[in-house]
Amino acid sequence: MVFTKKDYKSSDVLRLAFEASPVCTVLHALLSVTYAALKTAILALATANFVDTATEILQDVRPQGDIYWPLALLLLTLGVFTTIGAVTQLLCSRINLNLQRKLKPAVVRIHAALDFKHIENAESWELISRVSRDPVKSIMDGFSAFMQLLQIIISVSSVLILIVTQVWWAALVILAFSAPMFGLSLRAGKKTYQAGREAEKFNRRTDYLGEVLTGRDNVDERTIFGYDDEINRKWQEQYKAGRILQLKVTAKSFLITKSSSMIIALTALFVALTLISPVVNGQMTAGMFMGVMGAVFSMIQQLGFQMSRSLESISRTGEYMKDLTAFTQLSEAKDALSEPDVEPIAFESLEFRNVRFQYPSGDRLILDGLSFRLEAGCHYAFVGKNGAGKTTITKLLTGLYTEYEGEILINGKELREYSTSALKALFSVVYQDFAKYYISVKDNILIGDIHTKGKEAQAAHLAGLDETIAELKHGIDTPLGKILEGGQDLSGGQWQRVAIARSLISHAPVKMLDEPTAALDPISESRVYSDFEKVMRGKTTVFISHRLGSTKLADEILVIDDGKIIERGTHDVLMQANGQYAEMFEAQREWYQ
Amino acid sequence: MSEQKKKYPFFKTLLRIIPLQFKSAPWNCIIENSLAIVHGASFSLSVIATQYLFDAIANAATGNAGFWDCLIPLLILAGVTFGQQIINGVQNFHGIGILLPKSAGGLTDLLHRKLQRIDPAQFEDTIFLDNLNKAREGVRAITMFCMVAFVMVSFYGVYFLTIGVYLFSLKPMLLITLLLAFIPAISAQIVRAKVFTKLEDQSAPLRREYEYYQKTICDREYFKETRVLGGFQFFHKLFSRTMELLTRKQWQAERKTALLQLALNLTTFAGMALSTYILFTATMAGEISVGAFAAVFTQLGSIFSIMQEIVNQHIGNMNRDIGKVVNFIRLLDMPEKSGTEGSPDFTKGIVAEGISFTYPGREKPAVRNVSFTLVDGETIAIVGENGAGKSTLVRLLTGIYRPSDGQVTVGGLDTAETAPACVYQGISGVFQKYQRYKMTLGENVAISDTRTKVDTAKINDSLKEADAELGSDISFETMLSPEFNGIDLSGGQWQRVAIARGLYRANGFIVLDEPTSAIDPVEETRIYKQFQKLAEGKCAVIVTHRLGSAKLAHRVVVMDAGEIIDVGTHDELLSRPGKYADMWVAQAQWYDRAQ
Repeated sequence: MVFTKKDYKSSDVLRLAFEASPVCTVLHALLSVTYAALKTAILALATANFVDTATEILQDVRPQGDIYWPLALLLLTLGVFTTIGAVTQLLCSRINLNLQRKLKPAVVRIHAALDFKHIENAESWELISRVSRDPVKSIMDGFSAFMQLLQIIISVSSVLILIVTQVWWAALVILAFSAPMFGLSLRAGKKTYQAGREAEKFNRRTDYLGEVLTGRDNVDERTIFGYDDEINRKWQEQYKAGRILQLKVTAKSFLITKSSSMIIALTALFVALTLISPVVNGQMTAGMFMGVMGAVFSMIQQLGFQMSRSLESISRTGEYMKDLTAFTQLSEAKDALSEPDVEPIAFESLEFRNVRFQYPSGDRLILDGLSFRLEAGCHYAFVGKNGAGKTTITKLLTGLYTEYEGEILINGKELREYSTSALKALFSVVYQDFAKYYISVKDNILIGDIHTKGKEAQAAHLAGLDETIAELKHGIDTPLGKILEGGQDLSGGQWQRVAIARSLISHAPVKMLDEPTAALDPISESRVYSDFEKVMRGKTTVFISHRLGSTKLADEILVIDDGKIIERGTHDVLMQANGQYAEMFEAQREWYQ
Repeated sequence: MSEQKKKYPFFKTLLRIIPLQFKSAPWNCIIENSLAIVHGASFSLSVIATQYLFDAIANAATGNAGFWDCLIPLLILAGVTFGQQIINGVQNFHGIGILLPKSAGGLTDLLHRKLQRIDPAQFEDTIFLDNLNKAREGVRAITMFCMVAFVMVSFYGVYFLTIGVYLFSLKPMLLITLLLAFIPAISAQIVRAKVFTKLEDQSAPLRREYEYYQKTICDREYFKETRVLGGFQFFHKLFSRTMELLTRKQWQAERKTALLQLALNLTTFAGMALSTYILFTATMAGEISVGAFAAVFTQLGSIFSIMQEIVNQHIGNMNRDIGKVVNFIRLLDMPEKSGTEGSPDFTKGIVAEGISFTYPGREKPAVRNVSFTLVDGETIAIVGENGAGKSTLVRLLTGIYRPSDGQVTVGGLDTAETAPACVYQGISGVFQKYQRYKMTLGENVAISDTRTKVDTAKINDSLKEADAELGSDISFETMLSPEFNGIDLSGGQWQRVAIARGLYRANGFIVLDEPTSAIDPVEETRIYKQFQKLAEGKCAVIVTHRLGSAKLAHRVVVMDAGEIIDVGTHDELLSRPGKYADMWVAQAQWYDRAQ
C-alpha cells in the first residue's frame, strides 16, 4: 500500500479498507445491508404474515395447518439475523488484520524517511506520533461508523418502502414530517465532537500533579519536603475544576444524543398515528401494523444512540485524516533509508568554512561562522560549554540536517554532493544518547556495519566486553533488555562498551565520540576515553566533551563557544594562551591540587 | 521482606470496594440506583403498553374498535417511550458524567494519601511501580466495577423481575424464555474468555516484540542512530516478520472464535425459536391474544440481547478489570510507616550503627553493615563509583529508608521508631534527581516547606543565596514550563532553583547530592563552592563524584559495593594506600602540571 500526497477525507477510510481487503470489504457492506433490511422490513413482513394468518385461523376463516409456513418464515428470518453477526465480525477482523499488514508498514516507512527536522520539532513530532500511534484503529473506527450509518439508512428506507407498498400516501406524510426531523438530528450529531478541548488543559494539569504525587523520580523530595498534602489539595482543586468543565461538555453531548432519540421516537409516534386510520379502514392489516411498529420501535432504542455515535466517530476520523494528510505532506530526507556504502571513500580531510546553522525551530544561530579543518589520521577533541554547538556538528556531518550556510568540504568536495549512503559509510558516531537495541549482543554490535559478518567477537573483545559476555546465559547471542524472551539487562557502563564495539566494527574512517559518558562518573569516563584512544590509534577520531582531562590526549583541541571556534591548538598551547580552555582546565585542576 | 501474596477472590473484593465506592460519592450512588430501578421497570412497562396498543389495533382491524380506541393506547405507549428515553439519558449522564468522575476524584485522593504513608523504598521496586500504575488505572475500574454490580441488581434485576412477572401472568410456561436467553449467553462468555486468554498469552510477547521493532525505527530514542547506521532494512525486516506471525496467530484465533460464536448464535436462535414456539402455541390455543404475541415477540430480541449484554459485556468487563481493582486494594493494604512523635536535636548528631539495607525485590544488599557518626556541625563527603551505594546510604541517614538491620538516629530520633514527618522536620537537601516542577518559580522554591505560610521574602533570600540570576523578566509568578504556557530554564538555572529550594526549608541537617548530568567544569566548580557554603555550621552530607571536591568536607567516607571501606580526612586518605588514593591518582594525572 502506498500513500500518495493528497487531501485525505473521512470517506477515504472506505477506499483504504477496500484496497487492503477488497473481497471482505464488499462482503461486509453487503451483509450490513442485508442485516439492516432483515431486522426491519423483512422481519416486519414476516411478523405481519404470521399475525394475520393466526388471526384468521382464530376467526376460523382459515385452516389450522396454514400457520406452519408463516411460522417457518418468521423463524428463518430470526435465524438469519441472529447468526449474521458472527460472520460480519469475522470479516471485520479480516479487514483489520489486512490493514495492519499493509498499512502499518507503509506508515512506518514514511515515518522512517522523514526529514530529521520533523523528528526534533515538537509540533511535527506531535503530529507524527498522533498519526503513527494506531492508524489501523483510527481507520477501522471510521470504517465501522460508515457501515453503521449505511445500516441506519437501509433500516429507515426499507421501512419507508414497506409503508409505501401498503398505503402510499401514509409514506408521503411520514416522509414530509420526518425528513426535517432526521436532518435535525443529523446536524445535532455532528456537533458533539467539536466541544471538549478546554477540559483537556485541566486534565494535563491534574495528570502532572498526579505524577508529582506518585512518580518515582521525585520520591526523595516528596518524602523529605512532605509536600503531599499541599499538592494533593491542588490536585483536588484542579480535578474538580476540570470535572465541572467536562460535565458541561458531557451534558451537551447527552442532550444532543437524547434529543435525536426523542426526535426518532416522535417520528415513530407519528408513523403509528398515521397508520391507525388505514387499519381502521381496512387498507392495512393489523399484522402489518404490528410488524411495522415492532420495526420502528426497535429502531428508537438504537438509532438515536448509534446515529450520533457514528457521526461523532466519522468526524473524529475526519480529524485523523487531516493529520494523515499533513503527515504525508511532510518533507522526506533524500534516500534516508539507504544502507551505508560497502566500501567507504578514502578520507583525507574535512573542512568547515564559515558554516552557519540554525535549527528550524530554534531562535538563534547554533553555529555562527564555524571554520576548522581536520586531517586524516589525527585525534581531535571538541570542547565547550553546554549548548555551544558541539553535537550539532555531528548532525551536519551525518547528513541529518542539510540546510546550513557556508561550506562543509570532505576531501575538498561539498558534503551535500555526496550521497547519503557515502556519508553513512564515512562517519561512525557514538552518541551521547546512544541507542540500546533490545536485540542480541551480537546484532547490537553487527548493526554498526551491516555488511560485515563474523567480526563481532573481535570488536567485543577490543571494547572490553569479554567478561560481560561470559556472564551472559547464551554468551554473545543473549538478547538484551526485557523485550525478547530470556533477555538480560546490562549496566550503564556495559551498554557503553556495546556502543563502542558497534563503532569499532564499523569500517568508517572517521570515528566520533559525542559525550557518550554523561551518565558515568568522571572516573569511569576517563577510562572510556583512554580505552577508545588506544583502539583507535591510526584512525581519525573526534572526541566531544565538556569535561577536560582526557581530552589532553588529542593532537589538537578545538574550543567552541557560541557556535565558533574560539581557540585551537594542543593542550600546552591552549594553556599558555590562558583563554577559556585554560579557565575550564584550571577550574577542574583546582580539585586535584 | 517478601510477604505472602494475599488472595483476593471476586466476591470478597466486591464487598471491599462497595463501601469505598459509597464513601467516595454517597448521594450519587443512591441516585444512580434509584434511576436504574425506574429505568429497568420502564422497559417492562413499554412491553405492556405495546400489547395494549396491539390488542386495540387487532380489534380495530376486525371492526370492533375505532380510531379513538387506538389513539389512547398509542398515547400511553408514546408516554412510556418518551419517559424511558428521558430516564435512560438522565441515568447514563449521571453515571458517566457525574458519578464516575466524582468517585474517581475521591478514590484518587485515597490513593494519594495512602502513598504518603508507604515506604519510599518501594519506589525502587519495578514490581511495585507496575502495581502502582495498575492501581491508578484501578481508580476508574473500581467505579465501573461497582456501577456494574449496582446496575445488575437495580436495573437488570428489576427488568427481568418485572418482565418475568408479566410473562408469568400471560402464561407461566413463558418464564422459560428467560432461561433460554441465559444459557447461550453465559456459555458464549465462558468460551470467549478461554479462547481469548489463550490468544493473549500467545500473542502478548509477539506484540511486544513487534511494537518494539517499530520503536527502533520510529522512536526518537532510536531514530537518529538507526538512520545513520542504515539499520532501517534490518529492523523493518524484523518488524514485518513478527507482524506476519502475530497477524497469523490473531487470524487463527479470530476464525476459531467466529466459528464458536456462530455455534453460540445458533443456540441463541434455538432459544428464541423455542420461545416463539411457546408463544405460538399459547396464541393458537387462545391463551394469549394476538396482540400479546406480537408485543412479546418484538421484545424477544431485546430480552436476548440484554441478557448477552450483561453476560458478555458487563461480566466480561468485570473480569478484565478485576486485576486493576485488586491492585488498588492491595496497595491500600500495604503496611504504612508510622511511629512516635518527637523532635530532633541535632546536637546529638546523626548516628548509624551496623546498618544494612536491601531493596524490595532484590537479593543483594545495597548497603551492608555500615556504621558511622556525624557530629553536630560536621560535613561529611561520601565518594565512590557509580553503584557503590552512596545514594542509598544518604536515604538511610535521612530516614527516607528504614534500615533492614541496625539503627539510624537523626538528632536522637530512631528513624525506625519515629513518625516520618517528625524525622524530616529539620532535614533539607538538594538531590541528585532534583525536580523541575512544572509550576511557578515561587512554587518551585516554596514547595520544600508547605506546612508554613508561603514567605516571599524568604523565597527571595533563598534565590539570592543560591545565586540564581534568572533575568528581570522572570517573577515568582512565572510558570516554569513551556507545556503550561510558561518558559523553560537552562540546566544551570534549574540547578540553582533546586539549591534555593533546599535553602528555603529550615534545617539542621542538609544533604547535597551532586548531579551527574552534563555540566561544564566552571559550573561544576561553582556548585561545589555553593554546597560548601550551604553546609557550614550544620550537619551535612555531600555526595560527590569528583574526588577533589571531597577536600571540602571534614571527613571523607569511601564506599565500594555497599560497604564503607575507608573513613578519614582527605589528607589521611591520600597518605595511605587504598581505593581513595588509587582513584585520586587516576583522576589527578590528567591535571598534573608537570605533564
